[in-house]
Amino acid sequence: MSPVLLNSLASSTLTLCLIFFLTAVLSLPLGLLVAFGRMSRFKLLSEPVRFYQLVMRGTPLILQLMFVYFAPYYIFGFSFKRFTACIVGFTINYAAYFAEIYRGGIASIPKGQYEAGRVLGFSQRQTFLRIILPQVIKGILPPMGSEFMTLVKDTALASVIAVPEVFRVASSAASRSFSTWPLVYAGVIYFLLNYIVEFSFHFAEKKLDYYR
Amino acid sequence: MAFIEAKNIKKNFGRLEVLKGISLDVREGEVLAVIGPSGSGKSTLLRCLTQLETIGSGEISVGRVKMAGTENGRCRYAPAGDLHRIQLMTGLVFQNFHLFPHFSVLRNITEAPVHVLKMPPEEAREKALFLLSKMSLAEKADCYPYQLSGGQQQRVSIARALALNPKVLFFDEPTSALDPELTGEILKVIRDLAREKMTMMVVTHEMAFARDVADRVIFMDQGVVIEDGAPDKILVSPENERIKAFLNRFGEENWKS
Ligand SMILES: Nc1ncnc2c1ncn2[C@@H]1O[C@H](COP(=O)(O)OP(=O)(O)OP(=O)(O)O)[C@@H](O)[C@H]1O
Ligand SMILES: [Mg+2]
Repeated sequence: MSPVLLNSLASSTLTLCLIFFLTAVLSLPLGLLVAFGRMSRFKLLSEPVRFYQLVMRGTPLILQLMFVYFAPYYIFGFSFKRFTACIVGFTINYAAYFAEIYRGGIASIPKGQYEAGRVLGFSQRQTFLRIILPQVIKGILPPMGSEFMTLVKDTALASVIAVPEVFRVASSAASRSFSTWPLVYAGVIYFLLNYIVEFSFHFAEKKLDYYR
Repeated sequence: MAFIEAKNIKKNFGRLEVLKGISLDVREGEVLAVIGPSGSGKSTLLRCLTQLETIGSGEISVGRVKMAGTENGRCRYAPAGDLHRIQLMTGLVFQNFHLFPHFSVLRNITEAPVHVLKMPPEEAREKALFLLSKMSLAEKADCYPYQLSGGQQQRVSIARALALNPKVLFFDEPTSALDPELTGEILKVIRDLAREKMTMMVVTHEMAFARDVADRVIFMDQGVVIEDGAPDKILVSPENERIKAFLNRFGEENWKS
């Protein structure tokens, strides 16, 4: 492998990781808020949230990324930087999916847990944070793990707005050198990163295995 | 003044009238057993008194603090501070325990004292260990709920309620989810608490237990209290036909099993 290719693959892997971590850090809490909005008794809140989720889950992420990058200019007369647009696009998309996972997890906690918290004098907030959420996290680890593995691969879509992530770098190197090897390297990079993701989730599940 | 006073409580679920004007008093140190057929509203009554349900109208006060009252047909609850004070005076033991599965037995008991009462963790721990030894569960402090039998889980849940020093304990069929051979250990705990003059209100299908331990029994049917009196009067020589029928059915079931 040429040092130039090695260098650009390394820096694009860094970009990939940055997209991954920023999306995770932003969309995990945002997804929880979305889940609360979706579960609200107020239709005026829950229905718009549901529609937002429908759009995010019902249209291709690749189009959403283009939309976030190009549309603001025509509507508001400004544009995000490429990378910012990419993070915004990934975050609002993944928050919609995470919200569904949270919602399922929260629904699976028996009502008695809330009631036990309540009669012991915990506030609603304490009950949620101390009693409900830890159990929810244990329950949603497997689907969350899948979602994070998908996120690693989805970063390739950022190439559509010319963010220099692994796929874009590898495919342009491939066409420049008339070789498929850069694409093979890219595949290996995605695989190795997901190996780490899978490993981490497996570890977390083991950690939380101490109770039923 | 009685410790718990409820006057003319009414409660609907949609169009279903579940409590149709219940009045009752529980004095300090008294043990009140609540019996009656399935669906008569016993659990709902307990849930109203422990603030898990809101009443539609009527009055409730606990420990001389008013929880809810009704004026001109509008039911009003006390300010949040009063409701929290009442919440801390009342403990509830559920039929299905509802222990926190992700906490050890010890932490199930210390969590509320530490985070609600702001008790120092060391003190909460001492207290929890004391309560556990009282429940003969000292060696289970570091277990998780799934590692315990039903009877042990129920005793932990009683200890968890007692850790907040409640002035009154409510039990909703505390032995109904247990195998028959495990009910005895729970009934013994309640009997010991009665001896210590704990104020208690117990919904139960254990007639022999109600007769032994309760100072007073109320019989509910279809959302009303039909009888309120001494255990012997209600359980041994009832006059009301509905109570007789209920006890007969019960006798048969017990005899069959
Ligand atoms: N959350 C609810 N929503 C609608 N109806 C309810 C609800 N909770 C209870 N009910 C109804 O209220 C009535 C009284 O129920 P409750 O659970 O208080 O009876 P119970 O006397 O405790 O019966 P059991 O001995 O079977 O426990 C029943 O008809 C029940 O179906
Ligand atoms: Mg009941």
